[in-house]
Amino acid sequence: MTSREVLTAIVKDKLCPERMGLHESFWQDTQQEWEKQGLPAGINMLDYFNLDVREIQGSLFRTTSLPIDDEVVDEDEQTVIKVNGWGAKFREWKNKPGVPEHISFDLTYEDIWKKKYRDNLLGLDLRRFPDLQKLKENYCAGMATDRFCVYYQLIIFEIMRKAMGDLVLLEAMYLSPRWIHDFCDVVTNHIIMHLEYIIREVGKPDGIWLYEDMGYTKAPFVSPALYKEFIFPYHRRVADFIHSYDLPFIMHSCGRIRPLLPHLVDAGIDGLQALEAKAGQHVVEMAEATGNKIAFMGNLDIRAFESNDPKVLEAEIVPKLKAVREKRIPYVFFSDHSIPKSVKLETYRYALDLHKKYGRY
Amino acid sequence: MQDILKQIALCVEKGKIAREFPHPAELAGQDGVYELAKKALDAGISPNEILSEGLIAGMNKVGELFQAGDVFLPDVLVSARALSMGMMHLKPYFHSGAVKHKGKVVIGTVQGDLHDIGKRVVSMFFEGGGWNVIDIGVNIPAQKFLDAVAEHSPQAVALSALLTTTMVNMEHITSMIKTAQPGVKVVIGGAPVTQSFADRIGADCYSPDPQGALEFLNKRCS
Repeated sequence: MTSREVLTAIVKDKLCPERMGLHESFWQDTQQEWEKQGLPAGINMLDYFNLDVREIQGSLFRTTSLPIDDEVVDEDEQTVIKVNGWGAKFREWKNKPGVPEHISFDLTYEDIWKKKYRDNLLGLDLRRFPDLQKLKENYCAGMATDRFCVYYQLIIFEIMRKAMGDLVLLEAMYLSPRWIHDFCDVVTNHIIMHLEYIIREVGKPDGIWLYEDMGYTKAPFVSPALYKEFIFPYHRRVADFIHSYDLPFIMHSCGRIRPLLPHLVDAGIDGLQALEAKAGQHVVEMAEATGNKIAFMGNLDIRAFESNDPKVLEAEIVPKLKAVREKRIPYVFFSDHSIPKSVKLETYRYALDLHKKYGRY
Repeated sequence: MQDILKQIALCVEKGKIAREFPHPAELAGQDGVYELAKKALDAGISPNEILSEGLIAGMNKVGELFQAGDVFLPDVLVSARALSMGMMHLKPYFHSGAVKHKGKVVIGTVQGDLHDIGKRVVSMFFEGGGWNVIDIGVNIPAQKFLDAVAEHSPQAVALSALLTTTMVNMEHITSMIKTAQPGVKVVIGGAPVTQSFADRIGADCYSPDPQGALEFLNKRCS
């Protein structure tokens, strides 16, 4: 079976084909580090490691209210301070990946939303697509391969976090519920409108992979009740839209989102990715809780990879793959994180050997 | 007298900031922490009692519920906001010395890490627990922690890290603090941190949640 056939069976049809899927993401400096350890220079990691999923293009369109790229407003030796299209200011590293520091947010009240930011999101805006021609070329190149090709995009909760920051957002769910509903409604329409345009003008991929970081190590950012009230209706609307094209909806979320799982399934997601192990989540328990109604991707504890100890890696991976096989869980082999440069190339190669050996149904 | 303190504690727990706020629905139209703290002072209740039996008691309850997974971050944030409304009335008493914090704690995210949300939430719990929090920011090198310790003479230093690649910096910082100021307790936390890591680097406390760290401060540092 090709990558496209394997992933379609797993994520769209929730079946267990001849093998488990295989995918991974890498921090931007990992490849450079691995080249020092023998990885051929300048290779495409997807092709080299024969991974199943091909990203047609990340960040398909600008979801900030002002359709602009982040602007650098200050810098020092190590970091830059940028302002995004929501007027939010944040600091990030110049030469390495990492979570940015939130410095300040302009969007802190409903009135500011209405006066400055809301109306920009109401119509289709072609300025939001950075390079449609390039997107078309990437689409054609991807669909000509056997890979499972996806569009990546961040959506509702993640957009709110970038717009108003965690503290304002989470407080506003209690203190300004009308504002949060309006924000979610406007942003959901905006996402659907622009995705629809891309599918019409560029083409239909094999799946749509949307980013929603909704948890941290201990818990979801919001309770299941708040999720159900504020986010669920909009996830449902996005899922219905994706399904109207007969496509699967894959959701990424870091952190512990186990308490939200029943609602996520009801919302219509087809695949859930990351499943952070250190947040107390286990793929088998989650699959059993959903009755194998969705596919799972990840849950291989990054700390085992970072130990660079084959025995630790085996102890993490082998029992999980055996259980996934035994329980017939539609599954894609994937760490519960991106692979940082602290993971050695030989460690990752060994992980792939384990997938090859134990990753058949 | 006890009734109004209990009411303040309940309003902090439920996130009832002031009368004008409709949240939570079951307390809509009633006084919130802002009004109750003022009424308590006007009734002659001591600022210390308002702080300990009203504001801190309410925040402690929220901390326990959060630790148990019964409430979530939005609840904590709204409770912290309610608590800050009460603190506004107590500010003059802190300045005059009539009300004292339990102690000082310096908090920062370690060098190499820009993450600040976890640190801010932990700071809210510490402040809500009656501690004077000196937040020195993110990407903080060991020397800056030492400088802050020398300047503020805290009872404890709290170190935060989000990533496995940055938590390793906690070891050096802890070692330098312990060498320079052996009496200052070091509290560590963050997504990748574990008890075994804390033991290995010689930190005095690791907690997976803010309430555990606050309980350590209350028991071992005040």
